[in-house]
Amino acid sequence: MARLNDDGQWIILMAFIISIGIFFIAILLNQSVLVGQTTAEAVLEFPKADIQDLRNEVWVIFIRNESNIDEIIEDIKGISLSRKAAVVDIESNTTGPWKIHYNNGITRYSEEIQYVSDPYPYYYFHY
Amino acid sequence: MNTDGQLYTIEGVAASVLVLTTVYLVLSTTTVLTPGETHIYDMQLEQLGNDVLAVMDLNETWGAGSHKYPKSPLENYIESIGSGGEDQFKNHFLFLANQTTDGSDNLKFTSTITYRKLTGEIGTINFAQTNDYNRERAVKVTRWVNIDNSLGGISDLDARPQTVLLEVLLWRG
Repeated sequence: MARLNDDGQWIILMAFIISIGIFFIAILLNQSVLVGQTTAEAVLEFPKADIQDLRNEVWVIFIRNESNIDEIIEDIKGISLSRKAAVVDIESNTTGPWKIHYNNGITRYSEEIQYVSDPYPYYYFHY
Repeated sequence: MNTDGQLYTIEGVAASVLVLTTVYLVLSTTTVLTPGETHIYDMQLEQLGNDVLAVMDLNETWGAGSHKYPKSPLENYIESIGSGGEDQFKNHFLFLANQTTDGSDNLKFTSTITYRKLTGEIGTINFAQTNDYNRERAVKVTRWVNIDNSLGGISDLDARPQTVLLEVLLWRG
């Protein structure tokens, strides 16, 4: 068997360093992509718009003060469960604070809110 | 048989495996980029759709009318389903959603309205749309809408004031 030629050891050493460097950069690139994806997914998953919309709708129900508020609240609860997979409960109150509960299995939200009964001054302000 | 250079051969095979592995890793990471990007576009489209529906659900006039709280355009469109409400909704929605700083965007949508009857039955009717949905990459945005159907203008729904859910499936075409 021929004697091992030990020329060019620096070249081999540099090649090893560079290849290990490329390997680590590839790992970094991989992880940075995952960060962007999970951030966007977290924003998509969090029901920000759902909760804002629900709060606005409850306020509209309060302001309109129809005679069948209980039926309207049952509409929201039933539709929310079947179309959005979210449990919603609303407790109306003629004088005291209203309660809003929201739970979609991942995010849970509850609040107690006292509405101002007569919005007319604001209407004239915007007129 | 000449047995010289066996170590060189082994080293060559090892080096080729190393190079191939690195190339595979680099190529596979660049293909992962695409789904990451599309999630960001989905997020922006969903935000846009929710904003448009919120704007349409604000009343434009602030007068002291006969009704304590004036109806929003969105409520009026849904209450006049079957008598032009669909087209009015479509025009208003596209006008708001397609605004860009240069020219016009090209968004497509289809929408439904889900209602609940006093019997507990939950049903869905079709509302305005630009195109049929053929499994494009779409996002869904929703809006609770408080409507008054006391006169029974929409035959599928109970004749009473009620809250329905407007669902819009939105995609860029």
